[in-house]
Amino acid sequence: MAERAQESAAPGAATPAPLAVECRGVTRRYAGVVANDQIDLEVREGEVHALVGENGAGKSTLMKMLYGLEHPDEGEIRIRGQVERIDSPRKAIELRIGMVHQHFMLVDNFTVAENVVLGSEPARGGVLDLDQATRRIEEVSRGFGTPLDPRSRVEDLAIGQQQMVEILKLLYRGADILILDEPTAVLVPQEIDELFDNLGRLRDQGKTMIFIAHSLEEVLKIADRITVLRDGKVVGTIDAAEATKEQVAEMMVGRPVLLRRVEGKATPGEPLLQVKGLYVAVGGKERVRDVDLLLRHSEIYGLAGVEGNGQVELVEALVGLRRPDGGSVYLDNDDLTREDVRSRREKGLAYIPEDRHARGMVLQMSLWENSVLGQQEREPFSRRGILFPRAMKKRAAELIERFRVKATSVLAPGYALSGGNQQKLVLAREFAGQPKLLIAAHPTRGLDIGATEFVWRQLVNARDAGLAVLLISSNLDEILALSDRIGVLFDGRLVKEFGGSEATMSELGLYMTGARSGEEPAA
Amino acid sequence: MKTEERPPAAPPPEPDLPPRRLQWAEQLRDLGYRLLAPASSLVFAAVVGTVVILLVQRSVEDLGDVAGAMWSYGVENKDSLAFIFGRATPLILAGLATAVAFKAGLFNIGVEGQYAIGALSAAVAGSQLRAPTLIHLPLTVLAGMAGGLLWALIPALLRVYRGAHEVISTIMMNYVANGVLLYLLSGPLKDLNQPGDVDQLRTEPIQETAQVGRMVGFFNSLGFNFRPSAPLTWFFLFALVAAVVYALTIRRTRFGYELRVLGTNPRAAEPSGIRTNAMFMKAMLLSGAVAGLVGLPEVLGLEGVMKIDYVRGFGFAGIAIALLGRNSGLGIVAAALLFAFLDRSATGIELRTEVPSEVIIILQGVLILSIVVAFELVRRLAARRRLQETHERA
Amino acid sequence: MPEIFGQLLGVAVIASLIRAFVPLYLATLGALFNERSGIVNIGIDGMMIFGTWFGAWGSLRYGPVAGLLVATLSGTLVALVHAVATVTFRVDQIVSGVAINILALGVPRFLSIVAFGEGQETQSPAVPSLPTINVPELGAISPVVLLTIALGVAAWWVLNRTVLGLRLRSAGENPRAAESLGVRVISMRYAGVLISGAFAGLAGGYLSVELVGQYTEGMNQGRGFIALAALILGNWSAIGVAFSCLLFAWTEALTVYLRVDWINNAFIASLPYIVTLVVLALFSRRVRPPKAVGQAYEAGSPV
Repeated sequence: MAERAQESAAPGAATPAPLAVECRGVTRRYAGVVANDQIDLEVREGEVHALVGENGAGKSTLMKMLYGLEHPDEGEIRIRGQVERIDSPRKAIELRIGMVHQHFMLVDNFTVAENVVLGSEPARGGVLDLDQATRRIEEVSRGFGTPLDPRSRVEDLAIGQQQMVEILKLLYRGADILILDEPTAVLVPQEIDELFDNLGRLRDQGKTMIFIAHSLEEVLKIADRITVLRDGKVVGTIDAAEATKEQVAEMMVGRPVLLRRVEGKATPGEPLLQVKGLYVAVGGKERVRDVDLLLRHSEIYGLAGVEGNGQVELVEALVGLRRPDGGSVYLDNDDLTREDVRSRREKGLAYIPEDRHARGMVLQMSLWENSVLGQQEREPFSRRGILFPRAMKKRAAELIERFRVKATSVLAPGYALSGGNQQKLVLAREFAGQPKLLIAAHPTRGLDIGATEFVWRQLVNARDAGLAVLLISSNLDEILALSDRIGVLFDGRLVKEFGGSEATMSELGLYMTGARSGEEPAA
Repeated sequence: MKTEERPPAAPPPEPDLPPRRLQWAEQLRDLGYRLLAPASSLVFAAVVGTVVILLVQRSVEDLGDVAGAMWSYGVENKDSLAFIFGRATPLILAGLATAVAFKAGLFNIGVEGQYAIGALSAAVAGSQLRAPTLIHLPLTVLAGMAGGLLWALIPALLRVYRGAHEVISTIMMNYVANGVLLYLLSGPLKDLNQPGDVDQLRTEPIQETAQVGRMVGFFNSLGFNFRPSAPLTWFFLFALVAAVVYALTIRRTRFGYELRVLGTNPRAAEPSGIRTNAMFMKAMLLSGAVAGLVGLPEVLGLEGVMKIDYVRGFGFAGIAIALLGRNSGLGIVAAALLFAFLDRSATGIELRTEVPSEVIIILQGVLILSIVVAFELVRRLAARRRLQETHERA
Repeated sequence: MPEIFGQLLGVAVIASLIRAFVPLYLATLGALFNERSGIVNIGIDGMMIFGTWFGAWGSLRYGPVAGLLVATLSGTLVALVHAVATVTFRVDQIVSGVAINILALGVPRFLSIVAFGEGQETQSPAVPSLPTINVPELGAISPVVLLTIALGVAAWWVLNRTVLGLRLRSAGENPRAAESLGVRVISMRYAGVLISGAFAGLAGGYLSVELVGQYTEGMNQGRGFIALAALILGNWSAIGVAFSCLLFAWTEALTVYLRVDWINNAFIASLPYIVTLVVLALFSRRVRPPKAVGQAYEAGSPV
């Protein structure tokens, strides 16, 4: 299955630029899983090279190896023609390689200047020379969009500006190979445009950029060449100018794609969850604005939106982790607005948290104890305050079997499970509580294809049996494949609702990015 | 562009549960890991103790003397056991008080002040109320618990409603307790009809009906040969029962389960419906109530009165004992007995050798530090082993 | 009564305010360094206690200057224990600090017997102090007072104007980001804790060598913990803590004064602790601690 990179001839047949980065047979395994399998990658100097692939295709692992955060088990990496052992970020910096992480590595209460110079400060005898720092930052940032004030605090900046600080950090250190890990995931459309302008300028200056992305539209807009990864292998490298979205998508998933919904039998029933005029503010900032939501029995409602548009806050308000600042939440005509998590769980709510190993499990406790977390007050696990470990262990064994959790025993601690298996246990537990309403945040993130399929089937079966599911996912495939209805959150507002089979990926994208709003009639 | 047809999922593998026998082996090994840390830190503390003695006295004979004195006083002497049990009584209670809070992830450094106020409250109830033993004694004990609880209430409220870290606030409450005690015992609560010439800062004596007797007769009927005046009260039994109740509560009740979830991963507690603020309050108040018992063996048993120079320091020892005993009921009893043994041998060192008996305090201090380091190292070792095994199976 | 209020700000109170301010401010500056580097140091009280003992001992044997140096050194060495436990072994920082405090309850007593003889376990003989400086109006003042003011300025300067300060602060805010830029987080945290121990030791030394001229058991009276409250009230800023320490020192000066002149009441002695509780209640949620303070950091595993 290891096809060689199908190197397409450079347009105009001019001599291709020399290679900035070259990977030959790079392999990285984790505990039996091959994350990168014999990767061959060539990145030319002065190009924007996009790296695309589905979740788990191995993009991040490859980039971490280039930046010295991971080390290849086999193969070699050449930088500007020289074989290099990149064993730490420090080494990467020496090689003038820089990386902008998806989650920014910034010190919030430092100024822009302090963030940029940290670690390689201009100084005289140990005393900071902040004037010189400011001057050099102004130098490197010259010509980039809106100039940043080196004296402003990073925590006061917009996300796009913070990302610019990250890029300045690299430029300040003289990096000419820039790795950008999903830089657009956190940006609003205008910011994306500005980012692309800036990346274009950097390309003009001769910088090499490796750009990890999900959105094919963006990739085709900014990249010179595209390398597609699938299941840890390189599928091929193509010129962006000649590529079509369909072609890249096919390479990503391995065959012509069809929109395949997972169909169930049930049709939505009586209203179950009714949310009216919900407002949530965090630190004085309105994160959820006037959201109305109706969810019926036997219905999967998919909530789409770019990260940071209020999903987290909405979910927390629905689960009871956060007091809403306005509006009401009813479940089966019970007013839950003022109720806490326990009361809501007693009334039939189940919740799969986004950060499940941190919020869904207690890793130091055993699997059997983790198997009833959130249901500990129910019989037969406890009666009048007394626990019944035997019943808990029995439940644990059932969950492990039903969801094929790879575990040595129910006595093993949570941390003995791999991430994917921890997740399966949490999913199994929440399903087993026989809820009326399941709020599932990114239920298949990090799962392999087989497990994802399995979870989807479980969700649909439970829906058919009467369960209402609020599905939050950054994976639009998932939303489109499962939802009976789809709502789009943008800037805290529910800007659009679709029937599940009406929506298309591109239409969702328009609403998610605010390019179209609910008031206008959908084209 | 969308979801393609997924390959059919693999057939479900056999449920991956090892036979019961294997589970036992696993538990045995876990127990080994658990004992490794206390054992190695005991050895380390002994080494440090040896070095200290050698540094100070510069003679190997002293080492022998110290060991001999520890043996003869800590073990051989016929009253040793009575002393050790008696001394272990408040230590067990203090350890339990600290451990309850620890379990919820709270540091109650205020046991010291809580037991002072608890003892004073009990002394007031014990000396002022008039009732038959069956009513008076339980009321007095409850008064002690109420005093400790009251002193824990303020830090608990400050933590839950004002976000004030309980470490600093409980320590501040210790100092305030000192002031309150001094004020009350030198004025409002002072016994004005004291026998003798020396004017002591103390309460009126506890009524007969609220006093707790010595356990010496019971032990002697089992074949021991303790002095009648040996400092061992029925509170020892009470403390052992408390340790059992504590262990059962932690392992076998929903409260204990929720406490452990909260203490080990507070971020997972709320999403699973645990009312964290209520749990913090309950844990802290329970801790204070148990702390209120610490001073009672002395006040209701050995002395029959609360004096300004009551025995101090059990609160801090309780932290050490909870750490050493890993917050488990059995562990706390064992650690308390060990500390009581060390205290007892300190007397031997004092009387029999040239070495200052305070070497024991150093030993205890070193023990605390080395135990936390040892537990951390063993934990990492065990976790690494686990992960390896999981990967081998995968 | 009005007279009393006049006296509350009088020269006598100001003199005791300065005396109370010095050890508290020194300890708080120390806590500032360890917390800005990301490590909680509850053991600062114990480090001060070691400082009081070693200060007295050093002064007795080699004179007051040596005494203060020995005190500083002793605090630093105890801090090294805390640093090894929390930074290298990543033991719970509060547990380690508590253990150090417990050690500080017993070890000085042992040392007293060894150094000062049987029957001297709770106090040292009188020890020599530094020659005082005469300041008009306020009278004789210890040179350490001036040193303290200089150290306060230096602490601000180091934290805010030097490479060390920037890197140390980054270790307490976002150690992963810092390490990804080549900052040695572990070294920064060691530096923070050791500097803290040095300040605490000096603070203790001032108490025994300068303020009292003798070591007595318990003379530190929990100042290390009040320092932690002063750090919170001062919002982890070098300038802020100067003011918060002034407030606490003023409270303490008041209790000394009130006890002598107004009411002789054991209750008044608790005033600084009650003020601390009130401060915690009022300000704990309004301040911004260093983001990564209290979190263990494992080097070499960014992301």
